[in-house]
Amino acid sequence: MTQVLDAATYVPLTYIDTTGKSYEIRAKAGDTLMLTAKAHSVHGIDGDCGGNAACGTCLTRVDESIRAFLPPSSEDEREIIDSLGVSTNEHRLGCQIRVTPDLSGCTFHVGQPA
Amino acid sequence: MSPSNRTADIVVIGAGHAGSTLVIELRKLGHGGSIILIGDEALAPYQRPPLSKNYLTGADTGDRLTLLSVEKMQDLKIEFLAQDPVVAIDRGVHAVRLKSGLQIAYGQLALTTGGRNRSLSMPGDNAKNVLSMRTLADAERLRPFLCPDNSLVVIGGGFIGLEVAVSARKAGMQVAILEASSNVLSRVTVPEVSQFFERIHREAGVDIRKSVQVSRIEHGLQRSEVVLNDGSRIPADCTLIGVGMVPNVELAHESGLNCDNGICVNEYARTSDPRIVAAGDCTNHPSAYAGRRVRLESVQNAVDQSRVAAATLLGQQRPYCVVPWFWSDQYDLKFQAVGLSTRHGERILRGKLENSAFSICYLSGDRLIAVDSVNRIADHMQARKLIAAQVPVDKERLADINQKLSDCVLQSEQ
Repeated sequence: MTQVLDAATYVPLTYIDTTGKSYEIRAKAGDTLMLTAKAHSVHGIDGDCGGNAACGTCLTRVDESIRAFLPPSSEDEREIIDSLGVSTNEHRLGCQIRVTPDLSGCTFHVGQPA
Repeated sequence: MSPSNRTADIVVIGAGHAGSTLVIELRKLGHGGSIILIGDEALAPYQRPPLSKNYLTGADTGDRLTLLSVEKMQDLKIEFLAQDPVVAIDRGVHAVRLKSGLQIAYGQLALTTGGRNRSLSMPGDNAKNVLSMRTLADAERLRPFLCPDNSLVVIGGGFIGLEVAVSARKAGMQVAILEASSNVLSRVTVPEVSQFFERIHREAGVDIRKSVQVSRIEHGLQRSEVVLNDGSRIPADCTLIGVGMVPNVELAHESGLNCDNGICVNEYARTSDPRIVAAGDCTNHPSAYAGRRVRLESVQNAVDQSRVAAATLLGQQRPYCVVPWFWSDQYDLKFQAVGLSTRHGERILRGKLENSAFSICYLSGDRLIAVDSVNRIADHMQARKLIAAQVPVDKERLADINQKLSDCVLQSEQ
């Protein structure tokens, strides 16, 4: 019997931090946007609570064209985003979004605006 | 032959949340010198909070726990020494000695040694089915017991005990929680919150027994039983001891650093030795919010204080003044605490406990100093700002759950 090794799928993404610096990243499908950012030392994504939607340190602005590809946000997530003083329509928490091939080539603006 | 000596600009002892955050922060702040991170476990730094929750139930896998991977440490040029604990710090010659005999001379040293589970000394507590919960190895030992109809006895009604009880109930186990005091969570919250959680756990089928003393654990051929002082016996295929932690201060203490319920540090995370900082569960530090020194056991404290410690090591003065916060997930409830409530006067309830969505606001005079909330994330997030701002609040508005917490600032009369 042949054992088929499950090769990870990598998805190209771009992160842009609040200083305007751009990061071209090959993200592993299944990882969250937050974990991906942390693994690549993207400025402005701390993910202090480890992805529990408890801390609000992985704020990500998402362009309208991408939003349709994302699962809807939970009420908890929207409340955290709202309390950070930004629009809940345009923003998500990076810990609540898993990388999928649909996101190939997408750009995410990360970090809390000053 | 004596092992070769090494040197590093910065040596970090302890590779948990604090140690891993500290080394990442050093690189973020531009430190170009050498860093050695020393851990006593085999694994690269990993997250502990999921261990009692999603990791135990199998919803999270091991690779999701990683905080700082071996690959990333290579990228960041951080040398990681695993499974080789430090056995002594020689501050006279600025060196640490490891169990293997290796000596490492440091330019500066960071202590992120965390803590270990407090043990209970009683007959029968050293059996293979008497466990505790702090490390991944602890979770691995506990996981095989999580089978339907197996019985679990949790000794200690703190957060770890309650979270493990949730995971065990989800797995179909029979669960009893034994608490020595008159309430669960009595060390961390007020009786109404304790009683709320007791009700939730009882409704989930947990047998909670309060004001009880455990005498011993008996191991028969067929099964084990926890025996209480009053003689009652509770079947225990597995016993979890969750009676708090003790800070790992021995290395610091033996090297002559000031320690008092933790390694004493100032607001810059500096110990009594100017070359040495400390951060996380192991420190005793001044808190502007408590008005006294505190030792906090939380991810937030580990992460935020270690960022301060990293800045201090690089000559930057960045005082630690984050409002402490904490969370615990139990069943479908998100408990969040922010601020330190110990010196509160009045407290005000927002919402209804029976609705499982409420916040308890702790006041000192007319200032909000802490909020414990259940399923009220907006309150928690807004409270962080209000507590930090130390502004007077309008108590009537505060009691009205339809008012946003952030709109409860008392308007000064102009």
